[in-house]
Amino acid sequence: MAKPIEKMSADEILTVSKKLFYSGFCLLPMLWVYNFVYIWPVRNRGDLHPHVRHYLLMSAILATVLFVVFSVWFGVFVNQRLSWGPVGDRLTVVLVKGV
Amino acid sequence: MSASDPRGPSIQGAAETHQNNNNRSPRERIDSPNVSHGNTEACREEDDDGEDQPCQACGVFPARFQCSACQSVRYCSQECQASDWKIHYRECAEIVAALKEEQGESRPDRNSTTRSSGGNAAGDNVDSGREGTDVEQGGRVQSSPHPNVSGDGTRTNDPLGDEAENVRATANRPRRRPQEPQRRPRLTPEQRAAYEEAERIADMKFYMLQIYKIIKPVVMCICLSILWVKISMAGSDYRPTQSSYTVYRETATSTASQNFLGSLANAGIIIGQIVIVTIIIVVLFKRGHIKVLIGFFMVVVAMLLGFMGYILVLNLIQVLRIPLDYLTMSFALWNFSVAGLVSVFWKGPMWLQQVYLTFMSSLMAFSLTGLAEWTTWMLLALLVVWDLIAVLCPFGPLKILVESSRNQNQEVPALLYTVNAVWFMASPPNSMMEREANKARENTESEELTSDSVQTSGDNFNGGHSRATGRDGGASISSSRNSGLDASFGVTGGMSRNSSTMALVPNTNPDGTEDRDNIELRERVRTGGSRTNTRSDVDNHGGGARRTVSTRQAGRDEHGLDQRTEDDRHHDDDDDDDDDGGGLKLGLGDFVFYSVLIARAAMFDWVTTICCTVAVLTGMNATIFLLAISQKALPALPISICFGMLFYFATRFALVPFLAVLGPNQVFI
Repeated sequence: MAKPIEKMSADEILTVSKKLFYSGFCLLPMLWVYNFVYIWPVRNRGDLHPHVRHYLLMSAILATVLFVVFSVWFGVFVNQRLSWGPVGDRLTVVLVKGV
Repeated sequence: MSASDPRGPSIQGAAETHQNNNNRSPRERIDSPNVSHGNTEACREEDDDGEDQPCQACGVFPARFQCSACQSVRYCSQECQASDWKIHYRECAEIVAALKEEQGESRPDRNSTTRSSGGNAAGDNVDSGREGTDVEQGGRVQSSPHPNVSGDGTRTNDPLGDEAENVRATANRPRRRPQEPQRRPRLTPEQRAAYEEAERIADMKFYMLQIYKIIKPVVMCICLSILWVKISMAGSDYRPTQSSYTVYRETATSTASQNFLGSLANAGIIIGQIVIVTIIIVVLFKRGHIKVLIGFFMVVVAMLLGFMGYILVLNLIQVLRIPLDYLTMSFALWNFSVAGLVSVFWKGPMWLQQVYLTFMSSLMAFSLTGLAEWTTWMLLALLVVWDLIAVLCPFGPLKILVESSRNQNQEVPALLYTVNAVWFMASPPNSMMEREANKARENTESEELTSDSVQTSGDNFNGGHSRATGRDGGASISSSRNSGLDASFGVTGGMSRNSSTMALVPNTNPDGTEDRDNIELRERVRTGGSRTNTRSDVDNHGGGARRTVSTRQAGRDEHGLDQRTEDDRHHDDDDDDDDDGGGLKLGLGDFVFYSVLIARAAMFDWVTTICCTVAVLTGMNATIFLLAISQKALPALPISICFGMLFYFATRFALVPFLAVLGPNQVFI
């Protein structure tokens, strides 16, 4: 089990944050959220590497952006899928009965 | 506590014996005549040694800590010791074994008064010339700056204070070590009995807290499983189906005997897989192929989160009529699974890991609801037997797994739900080494602490103490506090088919843990006079012992000992925080099979569901209670599953028909 973030050294935190941030680009906005949530408790630590805050900020922004993009897409899909005909049906995982 | 009064004599006795321990610090040696000087010399010697031997791990001077078990290597910090432990533990065990043998020959009388508890402090100073094997508590207690030595008047209270620490030290340590030799020179049988009583009460309190800690995730997992079952039963086409490797399929027309034999065969196949996988895991673990294991578990977890997550999503979106497109779903599943893998196998917030483990268990249980009814019950019954065998037999695989996990200071990956962050560090392979590790550290500390206490008067010893603690913190104390667990008692478990390891395991603590216990102990007892009735009494396991103690401590207030500095308060709070982690570990296998039972019950009726939930949780409490008594790894399934099955069938064949009759006749209306 990993040690709690509070006990980590500044270098460790930097490494963790960096790894999480870059792996977030594999279509993994969850890891950005993860990064943000994970590092958040120690954000005000004195010895924190300045890059960590940068990573956190970027993670939060990118995650929000992706979340908005997917929300928009999902909204469009839900509302427009019937008008798309067969394409809409093929995109749907389970056809909703009775609608 | 009412029990405290009859315990008077024991406390005196303890105090008396304890006084001997204090003799290590030079100052107190003056006070008490019956002192042997060996120990102080021993720790000095160790300190001097630190100058000429480099740290085993990083080669730095001064290496002020030594592996106290074998006393052959030195380290500059606990981190170094922890990092070196994986290499060092083998030779350490050998050296210690040799050492032990030697001492066993030279001092055969020592075992004559063996007591089964951690409170070995009392007798140790008798053998003070010996460095290696004695004293954990003793060294520790002695190292705390002593408040009462300052004035003549306080001297009378001194034994009480020490005794308090001692009792708590004893009580605070949940594991008993029958093998450890100890002697209590002036304890009458009654005193000893009272001691043990206090200790047992403290243990019980500890376990009660543990139960509350562990019951939340179990209930969550059970509720999730019920939810999945109820949702999937509400007209889903995607319910999990029976696995293809089962040989027998129940049909509506098959007879009971056919069902019985067929389900026995099915369950036998599944159990066989479980046994084989468990053995493979144990062998891999024991051989040290941790990476292979982690790889295997990663695949399993990924499959579970991905595939079973997919099945679950299918159920959910069909029953709840959510139009979902493949794009969003695969994106979400991908994110969900990867985040789960990262949190379980890499680093992450503890709570997230716990959430994922709970969720995984409920998913696993959901997937097992595909089994036919007879097969499920047969499987659970066989699992109970297997669990008993695997944990309690001398060569039971789970027992071996737990032991090697302890010896190698290596956690079993992804199989355990830990109540709080366990972070194994420098955990010695056996209790003896643990004690010695503590002792050595105490010895090094004690020098500084003693000098501290000499400078600070009795009145502000609180401040002095916390200062000392703070300073040492980097090296020994706080790092040990980090380890979080007071005593990790675990229910080890595996993930159902893949690896079913189910056991309640009292983990050997990281030695730091024990250290922490005792630091806390010091603090509490110190401050005990001023806050006899504060929450810490309740807050903490060991409250029982503490209370008996604190009533006696009231007298100390007069001497100004109640002046808690702000510093101390802060420190104490810290301790409380760390304390929050109980040490229970529950294997995911137990989560899964509790949930399987209740999910199966949920497929019948709500009455059976609720009854089984209560029965299983009761069984779990009973198991933890037994754990408190027996102090060793216990299988977590048998009691719970037996209760659950009993209640299921009783409810199904008696209560539900009864209610069905009552309902239409409106008896209660």
